[in-house]
Amino acid sequence: MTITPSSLPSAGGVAGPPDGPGGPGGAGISDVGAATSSWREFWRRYRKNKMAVVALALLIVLIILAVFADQIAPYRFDERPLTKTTAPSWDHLFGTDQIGRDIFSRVIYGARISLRIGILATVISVVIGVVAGAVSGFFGGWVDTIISRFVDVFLSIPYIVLAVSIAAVMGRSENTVIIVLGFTGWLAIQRVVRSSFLQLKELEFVEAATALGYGRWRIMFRHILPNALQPVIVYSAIAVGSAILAEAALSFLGAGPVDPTPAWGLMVFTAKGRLKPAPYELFFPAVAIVITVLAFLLIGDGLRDALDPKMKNRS
Amino acid sequence: MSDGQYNGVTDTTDGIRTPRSDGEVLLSIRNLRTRFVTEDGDVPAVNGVSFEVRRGEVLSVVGESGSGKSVTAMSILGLLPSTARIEADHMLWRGESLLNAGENRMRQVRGGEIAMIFQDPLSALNPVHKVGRQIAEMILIHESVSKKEAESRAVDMLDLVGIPQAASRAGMYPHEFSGGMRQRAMIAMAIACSPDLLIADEPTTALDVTVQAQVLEVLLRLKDELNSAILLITHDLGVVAGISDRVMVMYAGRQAEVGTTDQVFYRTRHPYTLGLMRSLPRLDDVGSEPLMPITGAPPSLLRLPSGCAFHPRCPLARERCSKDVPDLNSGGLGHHPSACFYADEVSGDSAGLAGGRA
Amino acid sequence: MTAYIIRRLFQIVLTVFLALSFLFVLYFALPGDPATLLAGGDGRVPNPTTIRQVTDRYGFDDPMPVQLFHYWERTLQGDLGQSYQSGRGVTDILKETAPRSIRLSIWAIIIEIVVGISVGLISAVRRYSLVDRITTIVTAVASAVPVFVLAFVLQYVFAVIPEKQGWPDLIQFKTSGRGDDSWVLFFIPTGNTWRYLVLPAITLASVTTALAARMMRGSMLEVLGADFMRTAKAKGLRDREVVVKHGLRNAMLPVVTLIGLDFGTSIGAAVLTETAFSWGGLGFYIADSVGRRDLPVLLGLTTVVVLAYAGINLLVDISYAWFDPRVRLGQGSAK
Repeated sequence: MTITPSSLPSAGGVAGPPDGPGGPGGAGISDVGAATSSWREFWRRYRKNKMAVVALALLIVLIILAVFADQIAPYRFDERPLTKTTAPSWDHLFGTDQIGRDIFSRVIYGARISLRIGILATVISVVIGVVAGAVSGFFGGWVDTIISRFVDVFLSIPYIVLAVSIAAVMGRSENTVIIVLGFTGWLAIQRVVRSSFLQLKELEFVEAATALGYGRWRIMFRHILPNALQPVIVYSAIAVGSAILAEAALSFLGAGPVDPTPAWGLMVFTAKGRLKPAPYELFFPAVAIVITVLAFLLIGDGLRDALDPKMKNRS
Repeated sequence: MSDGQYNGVTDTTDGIRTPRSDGEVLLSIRNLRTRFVTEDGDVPAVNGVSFEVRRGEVLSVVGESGSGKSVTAMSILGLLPSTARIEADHMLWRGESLLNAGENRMRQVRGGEIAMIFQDPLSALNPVHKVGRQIAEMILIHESVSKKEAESRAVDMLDLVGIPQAASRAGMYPHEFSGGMRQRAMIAMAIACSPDLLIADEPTTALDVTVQAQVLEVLLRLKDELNSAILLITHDLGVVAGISDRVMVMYAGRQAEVGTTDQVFYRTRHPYTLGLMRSLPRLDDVGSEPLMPITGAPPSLLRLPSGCAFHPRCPLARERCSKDVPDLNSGGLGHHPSACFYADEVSGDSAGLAGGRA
Repeated sequence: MTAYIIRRLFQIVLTVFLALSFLFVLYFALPGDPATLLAGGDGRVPNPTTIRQVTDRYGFDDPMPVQLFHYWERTLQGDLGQSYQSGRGVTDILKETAPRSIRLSIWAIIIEIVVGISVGLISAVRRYSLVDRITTIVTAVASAVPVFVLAFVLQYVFAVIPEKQGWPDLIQFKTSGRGDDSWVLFFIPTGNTWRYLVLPAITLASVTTALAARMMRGSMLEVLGADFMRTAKAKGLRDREVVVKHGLRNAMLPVVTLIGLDFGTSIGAAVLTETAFSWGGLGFYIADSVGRRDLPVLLGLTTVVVLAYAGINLLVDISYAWFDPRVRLGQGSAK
């Protein structure tokens, strides 16, 4: 009488990573070596999702903005060309904020921060989540019990309460946000990877590898992992978006980065009191958040379509 | 239920049966064309199929997957997805056109006059409703009876198809039934409103061989009790030989050969039919003749070969076959219809197969 | 089923115990001396003697495990302590704030179920239609908008502008507080309360409604292709009956799970929404107490939230069994 995690959508829930690839027909099983030759096929399927292609283009623009912010932005993020807020004009496309900083420049520098937070936090959660999930699902027994109970405990604390609490203890900074999001984000991934491993380790090719005398770690990472990664890849794209949203939420609750860091969430938070006189202070960073998060969600959709055509209906 | 009984029902004298040609024509289809509109172009799943089903007979439609046999059946009841486009010169149900029938009339026909039995009863039955309730629903749709009465009739139906302790079984869910039981329940549902025609789409494919025979026996018995007809769709020639009066072989959306069961089995006039039979293991003839699977794979319906769609796989193929499209008259007059220009060269000695595989 | 529920309850108790202990230890490490806070309150310089007395009384000098033990001792007796800030009993604060949060959540859940499920359903049945395309775009955007940004936008469009432009009375909403704060049958607003309720309820519902709609659409599309749907149509049911009688319950399975799991997301959204609208519920006070380092309030309110979260998840499991008889009989739903 159990409801296994594989039957549940992810806690993040945005799109719900697909059930383990060992599902009906075991369509996810691929040879490690064959992975490279299927890139073209992957791209052909990804391309079919027009929104995902637009989102990918957007992401590339964002990355360029982030990398070349120093060259592209007309001002430094902490520079104060003026002393007070002004409405958008040719000199200041998005206007200036309360203390006269150029919002356009700050939004561009903000791409750097948001992408860094989103990507690093996701990398941390994926690495921990995949290793913990793999160990848990592959070895089972008391190792699994300990890891899974640990995950249960932390998942039983509402995410935002946990994140805000840890952030409050560690002090406010960009790095804190990355660590907090990284160390809370892996919990859901552990569940997904664990259930994939539970299904995959029963399959014949694992038996074959065991019969050939491969070591357990080798089987785990070289043979099973590539097949379990599919849902994780889709989840990761979405997780980057979620992390950017979470940064904004932490900023709003006074647990995010501090001024003058041009984090979008912080900019929105700082602008909230002046909605009536200066809506542009809130508008531009807010739109930047929405577009970026949306891009990652749509890329997640595209990845899902491309990696598992069977899942296409589940958008 | 033993295999002997199964043969006893179907075989009359020495495996030779006379087709029923005297019954009322229930279903008459002329030049049915069903295609699917897809991103990659139109897929002609059924391309000019014509046939009749008479009361009392069992007509089998045989072919590999993708031959259009299931699509033909679904076209009759309008059960295809919205991407399907159905055309025909006529499609008459007891003289009434189904092509022009309104949705209300179609709903009366579905289940009430023509009922379907699907291949995989586990997925074809709703997992969250009790079996009895699913059968009762069928009765409630077509007859004005009380819910209670419908449920008690559902139990009767389960009893009729040979499910023990029908009353308690009715309160169970499909996943609590065994495969054979589920298919019996499916049949019970189909016959609940005494339809005139039963369309059985691969009714035994998902079942064990021994259970297959039992299920077929139930189907035949009920057909006789209801005085209805069966349109049996299958890829399994063994099943066909056992129970059908007439056989229609389909390939790539077209008819390859049509005849009585004996004609098709003993005087085969299409190389594809022959190929199907040669690729079938025969229990009575172990080892004397090697299995000969048809070479190649069924063609993609999107890119059908020119001429006869079977010619790339056909041992008899010659130049004409890749140019002209044969129809059922191509095999020449004086024999049962075959869509092969060289039907006379097909050495159809498949004797021993019909009825021989139980 | 009973055995299962008992086992789950036991699991929940253990999980909650560990979770709260972790939070206690975590908060223990919070910067800021609680005794100072407690003795003097915000921004004043307290008398050292008072600090001494407070420290002794609350055992702030004891080693952490001892404090943890005392925390559990008090909590199990139902004593959640007092606010460092205001000196109010946490139980009092709970009695006042919990109903506010529950009322807001009830409305958000109503919106989620009614709007989310029906929109997802229509979107699936009318796939590729204009409605479907709009739904797809709106739900994607709704998942990408930070909750508090939505709150500000709604406040601006439906409260600030209408007031400035003198729009009709009917569409003037309020941005902060609860107005008369009067209710009948616990959750139905009376007086002017509804003007205060509408915007936060929509804000709180937005994220989960979008998720529910997306999930429902996907799940319904899968069910629409199922064999038993074709069987139902072959029986002679109307298309609408096929969807409602045979599709809905099957399609609801993953959505029910989602609504339960979403409760976690909802709590996050509630913290943000209640803060943005000064709703004065649990979420508002949790955020507030983190900012003020008000440990007893934070821990007390979190305790309740964690318990509620666990309870909801149990309810979801039970309802899952109702929706899917295969689960009921102990066959895993993974297959």
